[in-house]
Amino acid sequence: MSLDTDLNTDLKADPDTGARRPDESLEALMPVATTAQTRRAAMALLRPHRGLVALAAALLTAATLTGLATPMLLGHLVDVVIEGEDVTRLITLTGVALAGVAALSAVLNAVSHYYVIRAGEQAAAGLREEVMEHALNLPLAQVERAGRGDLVSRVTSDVRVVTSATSEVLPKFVSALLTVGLTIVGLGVLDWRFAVAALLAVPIQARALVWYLRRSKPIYAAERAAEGQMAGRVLDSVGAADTVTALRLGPAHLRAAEDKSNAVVSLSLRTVVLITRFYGRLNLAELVGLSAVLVAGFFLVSDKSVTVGAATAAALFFHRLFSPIGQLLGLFDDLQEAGAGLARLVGVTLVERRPEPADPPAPRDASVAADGLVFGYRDGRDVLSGVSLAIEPGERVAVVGTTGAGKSSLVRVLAGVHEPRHGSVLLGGVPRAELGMYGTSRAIAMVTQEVHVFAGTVADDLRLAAGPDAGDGELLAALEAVGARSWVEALPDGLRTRVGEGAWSLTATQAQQLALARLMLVPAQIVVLDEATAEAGSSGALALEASAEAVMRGRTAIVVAHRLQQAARADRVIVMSEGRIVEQGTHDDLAVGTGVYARLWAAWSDTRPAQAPTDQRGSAISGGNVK
Amino acid sequence: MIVPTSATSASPPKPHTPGQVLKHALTASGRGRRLFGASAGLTSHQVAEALVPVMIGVVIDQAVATGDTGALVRWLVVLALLFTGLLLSWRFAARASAVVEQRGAHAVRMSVLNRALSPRGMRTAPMPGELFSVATSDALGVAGFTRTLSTKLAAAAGVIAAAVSLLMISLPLGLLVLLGTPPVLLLMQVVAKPLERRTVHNQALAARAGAIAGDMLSGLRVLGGIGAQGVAARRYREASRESLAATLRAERTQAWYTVAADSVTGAFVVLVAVLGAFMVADGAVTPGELVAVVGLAQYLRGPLIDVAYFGAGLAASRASARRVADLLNAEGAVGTGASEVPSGGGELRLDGVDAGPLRGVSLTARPGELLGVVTLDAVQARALSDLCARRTDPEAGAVLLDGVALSDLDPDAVRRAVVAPPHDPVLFAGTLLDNVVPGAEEGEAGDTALAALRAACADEVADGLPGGLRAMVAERGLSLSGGQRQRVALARALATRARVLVLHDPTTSVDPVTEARIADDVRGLRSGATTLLITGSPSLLAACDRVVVIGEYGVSHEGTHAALLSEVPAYREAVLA
Repeated sequence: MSLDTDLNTDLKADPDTGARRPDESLEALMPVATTAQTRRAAMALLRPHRGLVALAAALLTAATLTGLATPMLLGHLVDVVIEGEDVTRLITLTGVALAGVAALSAVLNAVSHYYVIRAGEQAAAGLREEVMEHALNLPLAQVERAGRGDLVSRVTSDVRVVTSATSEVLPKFVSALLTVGLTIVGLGVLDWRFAVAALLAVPIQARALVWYLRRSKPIYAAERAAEGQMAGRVLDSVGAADTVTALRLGPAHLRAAEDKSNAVVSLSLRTVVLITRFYGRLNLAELVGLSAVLVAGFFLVSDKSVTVGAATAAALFFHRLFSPIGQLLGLFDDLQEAGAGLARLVGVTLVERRPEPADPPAPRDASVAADGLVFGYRDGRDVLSGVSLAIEPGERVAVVGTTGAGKSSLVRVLAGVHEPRHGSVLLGGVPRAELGMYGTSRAIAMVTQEVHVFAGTVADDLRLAAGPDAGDGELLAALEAVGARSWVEALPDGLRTRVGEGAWSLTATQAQQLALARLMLVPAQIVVLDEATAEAGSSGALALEASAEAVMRGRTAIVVAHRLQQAARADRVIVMSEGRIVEQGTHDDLAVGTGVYARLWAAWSDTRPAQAPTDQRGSAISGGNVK
Repeated sequence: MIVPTSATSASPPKPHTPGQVLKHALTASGRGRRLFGASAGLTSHQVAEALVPVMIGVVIDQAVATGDTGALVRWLVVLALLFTGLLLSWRFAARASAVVEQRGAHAVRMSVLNRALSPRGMRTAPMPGELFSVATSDALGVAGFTRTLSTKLAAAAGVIAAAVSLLMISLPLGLLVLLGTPPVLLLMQVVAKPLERRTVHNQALAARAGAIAGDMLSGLRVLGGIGAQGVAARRYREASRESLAATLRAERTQAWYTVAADSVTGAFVVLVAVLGAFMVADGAVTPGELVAVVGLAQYLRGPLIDVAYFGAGLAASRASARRVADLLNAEGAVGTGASEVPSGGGELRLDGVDAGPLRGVSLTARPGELLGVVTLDAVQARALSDLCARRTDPEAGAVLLDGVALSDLDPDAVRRAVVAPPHDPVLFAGTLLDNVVPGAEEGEAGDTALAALRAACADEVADGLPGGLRAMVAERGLSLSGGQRQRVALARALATRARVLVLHDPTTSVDPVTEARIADDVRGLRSGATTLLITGSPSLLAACDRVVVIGEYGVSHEGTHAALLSEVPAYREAVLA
């Protein structure tokens, strides 16, 4: 069919997905569960609630059976009036029965749906908590390689899809399934030939469903992908309108957005074509089934096998099936989607975690020692090629070098984000691996250029670091130390002010000060600041450097520095180039002479190399604790 | 199969009212005819649906009860025709209405984007998220009125068809159904109102756990840095339990509503059936007609509820249309201008300019000069950059390009001569090359790009990526690090080879070693052209021909970086502290 070939070429031809589509090796990093694994996980999730599941199933069956009584009674009503004996009493009796059935089925329907939802929701809540617990404790490096977006979309949209399927799709699907099944049984009770007539519709429906599912999956996936790309394009453009207009990129951006938007339009229209064909086939099945039931009624009434009332009831039975059958087949899509979401969620729980040591040894002191560190990202090139260093407790070390020299990789290996391929890291004399994830984070803490203000109150944000039991006084003291107390107290609700996404918005400097305040509150005696003060403009940088001073006081500190003033204030400067340490020593020693650092400092502090750099530093830096 | 609507024809006439936006989305470019067709198609579909139970009744009466084979065949043929009509009219209507809706949304989307990316800018710029939601969800909201209009028209037709059938079958029964249904629906609404409020509240609570999860994982690196995963997991568990409780409360509320609604409608149908049965017994109606009446009483509920929601649908689409219209009518940050862009060497002069944080600033960047500008703070720097690109006009004084005031020039024309990109280094989805020289192929443009990348020390970015210049960059450039983005953005600015280039803090995320190299290379690449470097970085200032310092009241100092360092302690303090 031309539809399919068109679609496939569309998917392949798209040039823009390249950067975002995870390749296979990345997908392997964040697994998706197989059908069998998913089924096992779903069963395991439902097991604790099996009493509830059984109750829900029983109620649902009762509700469906009660629902079937209505057309039966209506058929009976027809028989009563046709036979014409004792009409008033029989009509009244049937009417009372109909009213009772209506009330009972209303109650049973609602209650049974509630219990199905309750069982499903409880299982779904258990799942999402387990997935989140897992996700938070995955090795950071692995999450970042697989792409944080993948994980975020799993715990947000996949969880949403699965839970909404639980409360919306599941009860409808189960009850539609029961209705269809029991109605066929009901037809059989009237006369088995009615059931046979009704079943004539089934092959048509089955074929229609297979036809539809085979086509709908790729076309919906393509539609969603196109929508994502269009949204990305639009956000890209409107999010940076100033850049677009400054560089006169408007027309090009409009064209690109128009292409993406048109792709969405044509794919949506294709899905509509598909749906209308599918429902056309279902209509055909309805016609065939209904005619067959009417014909069966005709012949059965002719040879007096059934009454006119029974024939009426049979036709009404079948007519009542139109909407549950449509629902059942229509819901297959949602169920498929929920199944895919469930597989992705269960996949997160399948990632193997490094076991935590049961009783990790305590670090002796706040020293750091690294020996022969070799490390490279997956593409094979080594970013660190044999780095060894020893940092005394309480020492402050600045790491300087060009981009790509390996500064950030070095501190990330020291902090346990990455495992080195060769070499070892000792924190307080204990090998990092023996400390485990928890022990490492109690020994060494890190703040990077990346700021994130967690949605919630300022106090909530700080208690992530301080623990849930920390008092306001402790939090305020930390804020005071980093110079953030005054502005926090000036917020509308002080510590109770909601910040983060969708709430009070903090400036870049404030957000980074909050990050430094968190660092004040953790027990770790070794701190790493990776360009933690870089992106704040020159006035903000001064405030942040004062905050950073407070964080580093009394601790071992490793600072990746962009402003050389930070290096000048350190006890020791390490200069890195191409994955190696090329110079190290005090600022005073390195700033004179002809080394890399000396040239750098000269360019930074003055253009005239004739002037002695030490003199300048003395006057330029006030209050720095240069030894 | 689909003719794309071009961006220009997509913009509705001005000034824009919500009504016009709606009308344009639904009726422009031949969409009106399709909308009419869709409504007609859906109407006949509804009527056909209403007739199905009537047909069942007729077959029972005429064929099953009488045993007349001829009648059976005749009426089954009619039933088949009815289904064919039902199927075809729905298929046609669904497709036509989808075309109107999708293309209408596309038209609205493009007109919103057109406005958002207009060189005139916006006086009060909405947040990107807001613009995005207008361009996507509000565009769909406006076009969604297609569905409201066509389905509600059809539902009304269905109601009328059912009413006529009912009245023809039996006047009293018809009247009972027609007069009884509205109060029944009204009663359901009354029951629903307070429940709806509680449901919405509980749903909002239920959505919170998802928001927390996304937030926590977005900050995963930060959490990992301070070892806070355990606290975060515990916090999520609490939120998840609260969400569960809220969901179950919402569902309990929903269950009560279902009980009430189903009982009321069920009771009403029973009433109709019982009264109908008495009338059959009296011989006033036939058994088949009773079947039809009961079927119609059940059928009526759907379209009647549907019709009742017309107001809500219209209100939602109008609200979207109002947001779209407001955006289209948004006042520009600057006006247009008719003067020709002067040809000249590229002298940029500020003459007694007041603008926001800038007071009485007069300075001149001479043709071919590399001028460093040091400001008190980032706000001043930004204001200066905005003035140079004519993103804003000065409150007093003038900004002149080769002697012509920028406020007399079209903003887009200004930017052909003066390139002043904003400080935030935003890249776009596409190849690296396309980001540096937009729309470029290899060859000459590739050479320009390479030279610019080299000068910005961004060539190593290309070297480090699979595919080099052809490597794909993700949306907003987020696949690159902050420092990489900044250098590629610098290369992009350099590659424009603008007569006047204004760079605002282009190297804040670049280490000092690289920064010193960039300073030299930019100097070399821009020789002969005018460049303003608004920065506090000593490495960059050292490479400038001349440096001016802007204080609270205009330019406070001027000279070379070296001279200012040794002579002006305040300057020393500002750039070296």
